[in-house]
Amino acid sequence: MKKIVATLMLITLIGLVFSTAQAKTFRWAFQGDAQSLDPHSLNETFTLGLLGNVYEGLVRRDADLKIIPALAAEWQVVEPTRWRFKLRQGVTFHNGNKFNADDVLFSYGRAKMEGSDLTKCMATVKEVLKVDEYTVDFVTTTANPILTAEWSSCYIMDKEWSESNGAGSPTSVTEGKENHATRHANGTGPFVVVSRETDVKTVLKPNKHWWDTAQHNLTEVIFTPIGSDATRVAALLSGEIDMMYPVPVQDIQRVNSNEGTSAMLGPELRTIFLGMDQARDELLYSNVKGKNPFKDVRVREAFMLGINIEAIKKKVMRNLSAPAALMISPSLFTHSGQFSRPAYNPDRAKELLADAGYPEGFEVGMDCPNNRYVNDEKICQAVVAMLAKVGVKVNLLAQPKAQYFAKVLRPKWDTSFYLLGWTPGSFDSWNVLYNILGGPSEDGRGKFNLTGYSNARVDELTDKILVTTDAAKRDEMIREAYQITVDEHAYLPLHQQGLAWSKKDSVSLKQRADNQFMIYHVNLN
Amino acid sequence: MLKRFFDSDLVYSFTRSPVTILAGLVTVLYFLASIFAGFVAPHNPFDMASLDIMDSFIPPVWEVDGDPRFLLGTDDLGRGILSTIIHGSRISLFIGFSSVIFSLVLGVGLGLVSGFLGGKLDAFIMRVAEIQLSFPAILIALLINGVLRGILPVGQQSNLAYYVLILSIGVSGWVQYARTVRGSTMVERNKEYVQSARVIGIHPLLIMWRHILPNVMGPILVIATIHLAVAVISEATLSFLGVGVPPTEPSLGTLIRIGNDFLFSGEWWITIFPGLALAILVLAVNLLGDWLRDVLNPKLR
Repeated sequence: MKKIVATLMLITLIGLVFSTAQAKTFRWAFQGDAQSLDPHSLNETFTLGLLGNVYEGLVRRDADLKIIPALAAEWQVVEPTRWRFKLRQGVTFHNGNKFNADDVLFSYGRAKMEGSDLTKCMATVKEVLKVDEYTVDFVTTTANPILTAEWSSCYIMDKEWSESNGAGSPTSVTEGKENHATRHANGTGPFVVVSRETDVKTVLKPNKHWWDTAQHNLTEVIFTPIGSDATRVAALLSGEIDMMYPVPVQDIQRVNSNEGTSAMLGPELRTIFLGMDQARDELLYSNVKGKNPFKDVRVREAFMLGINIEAIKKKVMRNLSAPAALMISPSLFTHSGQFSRPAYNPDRAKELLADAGYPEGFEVGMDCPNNRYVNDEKICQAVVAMLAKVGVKVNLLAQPKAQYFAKVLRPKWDTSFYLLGWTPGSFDSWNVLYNILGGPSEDGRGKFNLTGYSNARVDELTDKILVTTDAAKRDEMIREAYQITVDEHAYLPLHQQGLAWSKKDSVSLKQRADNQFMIYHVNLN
Repeated sequence: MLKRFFDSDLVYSFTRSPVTILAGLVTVLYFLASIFAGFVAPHNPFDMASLDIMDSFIPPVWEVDGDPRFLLGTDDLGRGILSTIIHGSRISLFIGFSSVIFSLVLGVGLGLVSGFLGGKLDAFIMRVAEIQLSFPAILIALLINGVLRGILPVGQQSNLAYYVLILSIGVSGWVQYARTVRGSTMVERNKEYVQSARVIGIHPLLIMWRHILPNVMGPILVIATIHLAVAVISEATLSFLGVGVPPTEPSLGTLIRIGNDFLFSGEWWITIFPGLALAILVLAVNLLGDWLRDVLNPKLR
């Protein structure tokens, strides 16, 4: 009898081992959740990154961030203002619908609609024409040699599915509206959304009918947002999850010294910066009435000099950051070396404030996310303390990114002083000059310029940069534009944060420098 | 008068119990430190201009990298742990005390009315109390806190955080007072002195206030003392969960939450010391409450 029991137990045990070997469930965590499953709701790295596993664009980026074909099999520039895309044939959406030119026309049209945060997809595009079932022409207003550079996150949705489910137009996250596409997804990508509970859990499973060969060996993917740093680390150390990011900078050592887990570090392309409202005639959250101190360049310079970025690097970022002089990562602009950040000088900052008419300083409200960037809230708290030393009283409002973005981004645009990060989607300066440094206007320029900074020369240069193909001339124009914005202290760049992911040693994956996590590179051993 | 006080049972049993004396001393110490926080604390952790981020993460003074300016080390912003604990205890005790008073007024008022008038009103109040009792108090506090925060405009939340906390912890704790007072009131209202007061036409409210309330005050004192410990813990729990006082003016719970992020990286002092401070405070108040209950309970004499 004993023998039988033992044999039975052994068989069950082998069965268990065998079945776990078969089911490869990959569990991972991030500090927040995707804001929406609608690919046009919010232009934010994590949201678009997660969706990049479910949806696909005409092009995508490989692990080294090179643009490679996705839903467009090939393309050519027929004439400078006309690009012809040959679409991949035989691709189906997750619900079985066929992918064709109508879906491309629909998706790009949707990206332009009101409520879309991804109008960048249609930047310089005059019209999208269907040539035949699998050929699409993009006609641009001017020659645009970097047209596809912005497109890796311009995802294609199914026209029939979207329209029959009442999701024909995007809903803006910043207005808190929802439609069917907010919680459901139907893409062509390598993974299918099985279930989704916002802020709790999202389950994906591989798309068996994916047109590309799968490089992963997963059977199920479970994503859970874990807001608390300590809890996220504990979950990885205890083996509850296989991968998570970002690793809190103070815990990198702990993760590395733990057996079976390690941290993956690398430079990130994102620039973290502070923005100061220079558009309103009176600040929203300030004790200065009737005028806006940030309109005075001396005040902006004082803020720049009053922030000890090296202290933030050492104490808040634990050396995992590179202080920035420009609004773009030095690795994305060849002439970055010509710019250097002014040194910390609180005494000079006080003088500048006194010159500007604020010898006693002033009071201003600050908006800050607390689960978006590495140590975002702590950076803000450090800034508050540093500015207090030069006499500026900053009232900090740190919120989760959902509430934060809804408050500061347009159309609400309810902020005087804020912290934000930006990675140019095309890895090119034009994106920064157009979206962040461009004077806000109806056509999409300056969409993410919440300071309202505007300089006609910068905008003029930006337009020229877009159509110039001569690299040397182009770089020189970019340099001139940056020089103007640096001299005018349009923004207050802080640093490029470091990438810090961590995983079990048994997991292999590829870390992209744009901090997007592509699950189709994951293998569980 | 003073002599009568020192001859009383209360003082006698107090002097006979070393544990109670210790608990009393600790409590008094906390109260004094809280009231005079501005003088006692080595520096003012809320004055952002006095903080230097280069002072952050300094370990306690007896560790290798300790700094004599910061006896118990510093947190991630360069605030001295000792000073933040002293100022934090002040906030914790202020909120705890205020919510106890809030609960007490609400609970005793409803209990008196309920017990004295009886009938449908009594049934209604007691059913509400029972429904509330079936939920854990912290859940009620979280619920009220969440609703209040939802109503308030975003910019005002940190300014009004104290009042939101007092209200939510206060409302979550009134039931015990109400039930105790109602019971005692029902006993008292049929006694001759109350009936004679009624006969000569004194207003019921005045009877409740002048004649019944003094006779039910004993148990209330005991509940209030123990409730203070509960309220301090509730505040710490809410702050730990991130829905309490803002991190710029931390209470003990907020301090523990901040430090929690640094436990893995070896900066243990940021969370351990505030945690110890909270535990000692709550233990001391609880011991005092227990002692008071024993002394005031005639059955145990």
